[in-house]
Amino acid sequence: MSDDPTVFVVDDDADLCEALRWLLESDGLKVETYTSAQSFLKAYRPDRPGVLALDVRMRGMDGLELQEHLSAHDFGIPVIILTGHGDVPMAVRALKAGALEFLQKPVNDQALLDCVRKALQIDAENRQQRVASEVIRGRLATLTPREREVLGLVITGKANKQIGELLCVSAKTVEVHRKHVMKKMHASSVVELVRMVLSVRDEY
Amino acid sequence: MMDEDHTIVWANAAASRLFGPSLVGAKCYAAYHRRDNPCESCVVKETFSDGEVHEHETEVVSADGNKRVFWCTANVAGWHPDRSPRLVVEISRDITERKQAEAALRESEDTVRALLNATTDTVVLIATDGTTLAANEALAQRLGRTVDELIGRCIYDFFPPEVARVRTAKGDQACQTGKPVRHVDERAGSYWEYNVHPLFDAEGHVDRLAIFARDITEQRRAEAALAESEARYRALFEQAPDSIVLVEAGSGKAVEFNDRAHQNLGYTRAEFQGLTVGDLEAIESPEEVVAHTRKIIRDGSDTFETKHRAKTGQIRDVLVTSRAVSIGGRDFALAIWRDMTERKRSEQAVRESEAKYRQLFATVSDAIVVFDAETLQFVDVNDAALQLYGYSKDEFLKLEHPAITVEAERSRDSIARALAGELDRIPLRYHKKKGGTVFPVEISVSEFTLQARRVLCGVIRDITERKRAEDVLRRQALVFENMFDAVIVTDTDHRITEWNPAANRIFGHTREEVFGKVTQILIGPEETTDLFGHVTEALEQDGYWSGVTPFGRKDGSQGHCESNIVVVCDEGGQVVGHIAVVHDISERVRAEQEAQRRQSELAHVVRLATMGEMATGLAHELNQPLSAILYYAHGCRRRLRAGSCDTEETLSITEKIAAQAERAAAFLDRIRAFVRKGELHLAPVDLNQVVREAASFAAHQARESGVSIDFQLATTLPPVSADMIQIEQVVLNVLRNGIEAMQASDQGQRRLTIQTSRDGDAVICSITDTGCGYTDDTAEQLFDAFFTTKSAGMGMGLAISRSIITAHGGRIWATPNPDGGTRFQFAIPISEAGATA
Repeated sequence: MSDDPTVFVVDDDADLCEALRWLLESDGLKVETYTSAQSFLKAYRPDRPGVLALDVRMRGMDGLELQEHLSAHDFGIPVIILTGHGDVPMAVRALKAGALEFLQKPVNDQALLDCVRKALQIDAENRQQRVASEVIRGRLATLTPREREVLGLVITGKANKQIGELLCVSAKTVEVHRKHVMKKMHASSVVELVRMVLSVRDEY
Repeated sequence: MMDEDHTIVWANAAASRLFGPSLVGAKCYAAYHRRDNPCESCVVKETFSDGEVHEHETEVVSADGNKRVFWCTANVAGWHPDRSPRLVVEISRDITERKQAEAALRESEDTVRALLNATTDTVVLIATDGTTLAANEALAQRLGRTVDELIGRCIYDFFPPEVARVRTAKGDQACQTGKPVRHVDERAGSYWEYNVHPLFDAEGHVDRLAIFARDITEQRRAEAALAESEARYRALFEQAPDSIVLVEAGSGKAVEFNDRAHQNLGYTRAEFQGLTVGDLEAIESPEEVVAHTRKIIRDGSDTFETKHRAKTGQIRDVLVTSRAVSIGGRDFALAIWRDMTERKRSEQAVRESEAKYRQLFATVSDAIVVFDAETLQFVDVNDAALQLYGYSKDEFLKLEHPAITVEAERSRDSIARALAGELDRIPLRYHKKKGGTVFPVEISVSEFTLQARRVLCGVIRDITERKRAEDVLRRQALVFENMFDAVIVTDTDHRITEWNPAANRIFGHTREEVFGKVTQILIGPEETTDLFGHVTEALEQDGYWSGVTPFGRKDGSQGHCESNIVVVCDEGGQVVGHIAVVHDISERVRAEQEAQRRQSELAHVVRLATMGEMATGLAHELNQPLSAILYYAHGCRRRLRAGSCDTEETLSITEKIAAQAERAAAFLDRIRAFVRKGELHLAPVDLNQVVREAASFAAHQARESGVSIDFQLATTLPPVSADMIQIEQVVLNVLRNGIEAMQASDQGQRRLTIQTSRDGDAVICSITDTGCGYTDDTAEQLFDAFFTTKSAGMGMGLAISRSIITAHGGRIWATPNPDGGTRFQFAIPISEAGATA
């Protein structure tokens, strides 16, 4: 399985899938087409980078349902909705579910390609981000509970003395924990520590 | 002498001798006449009354009882002092002897006179000089005188001079010859025969002539008549139609015969003369003939039938009337032979004919009655009459005609007219049976004479059934005339023979205009002869045809009619023609066409509305290929620009572009067809194709509603006769209803199943959804117009669907789906082309 970013086209109209593939491949993109949400889900693995070009109205699971399903399972793949006759409630629902773009067919080729390219970039970024976060999370996992408490108070900008008072320990003890945290987290400064913690904040 | 009381006071001796001694004291009338009172003509009484002398002749009875005739003279013998007679003397002289002598003389004279006068011959006795001495009444009468006038006068003076001269000559001749002279003379058509007889005196000289003349005119005439009669009888004998033969009894020979006798048997007179009866007889032997002849002689006569053999051997029937005659002391049989051959034959014919008529009389189904024209009593009736009227023959023959009729007066009139020869048929008369049942009859009447009686013969037919049939016919004719539908009767060649007023009204032709014309002229000009040929063929094959056809009116306009045509056969099953009952349905057809047009229009409007409602989905449906085309085009452009174009690959893409364009165009075509306004156009249609196309319209809606459409179509389906667009409209309506029903429900699985199948003569399309279904409340209203369970629906879908299916002769219905939801089904008859498949 190549890790080249791929455009996953899901549309129950096979002809349309073929046409989209022809267009996207002209820009050097790698394209996979699926004529139903189910067949896509069956084939897709989350670690594959790319973008999902999704038709809304489909037999079985429709586009929005698929999008919601992916979102719920924290599949980070960006989604571009392609619809023949979008209406406002549909667009709102799609965007709320995290759709990157809501495009009306037939889509201008450049706009579509730009959108796809942008999405692939975002995906790539997201994936990098996700890798960094994993490192930070791994480091955080090595912290003792006391160190975690200290970390939590450090990033709120409290001094050692204040932290000691809160935790009923001496400032000196706090200082030891702080050093351990800094070391375990590979943080050179409190600022960096804060940025790291913030990047994975939602996991708290 | 007697006193006033006629008492005899005195009588002389002669009187006493005559009348008895005790005459005195007796009454004269008692003594003379033995009476109790005086006679009317009593001379004594007269003398007493006038005193004169009276005389008369009277008959008295003497004492010895003898009648005697007296001449009595009465005279007064003594007077009374007053000079009236006291006594009368009657002197009676017996004149009996004198009277007798006188009577004898008178009698003698009278006898001679009577003799002379008794003869019709005239008799006269004359002296030689012609002086008439005596003549009889006949002569006097002939000469127009009395006998006395003739006596003493010359007889010749009374004759015309010519006659007198002849007579005188004849008289002289008698005187001279002393011999009687006889001669006949004719006068004024009368013939007289004279006989002059000379009478001689004592000396032998002729002194008187007695002349007798007799009128022999009658005698002469009788003689002539006799001669004539004889000639006539001779002619009769010779000319008689019968053979007359005088047969000698002993020899049996024909001694005398007429021409007829020998001619009848083919012999000449000469040949016949030598024959005996035995030679002619064909039945009796010669011995029998002899015996038969003897028997005739003995019995006097005989009449019998026998057969004679002609010379040629031919046998002839004869009736023989034979009589014995004796001529000159010899016995003969006078035979009259009548040839009966012809009569026998005609009798036989008559008998046969009579038997035939008798048989006819007895066996004919019609009742025959013969009755006396005067008494009206029945003389003869046949069995059919007995059966018809219910009488026994004895009963019937005691009846008179009025007993069988209930229209006495009319019957009487008819009888009179029949007798007058004015009537031979009575078409309708009501008669009655023995039980009183009245029934109609038809009578043929004839009049003839039977045994010198005028009789009427009636042939009577019970026409109860016929009359009933006639009544039915009359009613039928009335129906025919007044029927609202046209009734057309034709012969076997379809030529019009009957045409009722309704036909006149419907087609505009009068009966006279179409009479004898072929019914083809009634078919409108639009129709080719195919229809006529088709109908005539069906009539020949099935004997029946019914259907709806166009027709042309006289004014050239067109109409439609529903015709029922049947073949009419006679009793023998032979086709004699056709009867067509034609119902004008022009108005109905027009109304139907109008309704159909309106229905089509409505269906069209509804289709337009449907398309409006589906515009978004249809646009999407079009958008798909358009998008594909666009993507292909852009892809190509980019490759061309980048110079990374693979010719083969690009070529295949352009083909895909074309395919997508065609897909779009086809879809547009379908839409255009679907919304096209058009009349109902029936053609063989594949329902599977209709279903697929309809589904293509609904595909987008189904997709959007998350409805999967499952096709379970029959692999082979016969075509139905339908308007494709309208059926597609129905399918689409039902599909959309199903989709929308499922949209409204929360049920997980949204599936629409479309099935097609054949069911007998129909094709069924069944569309099952898994939607919310319908409640019993709405079931009845499902197909009503403007009924809808949907917020946005017009409510026309199912209503128009039903009218479309109905117009196709099919039906549409809904049933609940056992798995939830509704199943709509419709059935359309298979087209004729498909029915045989």
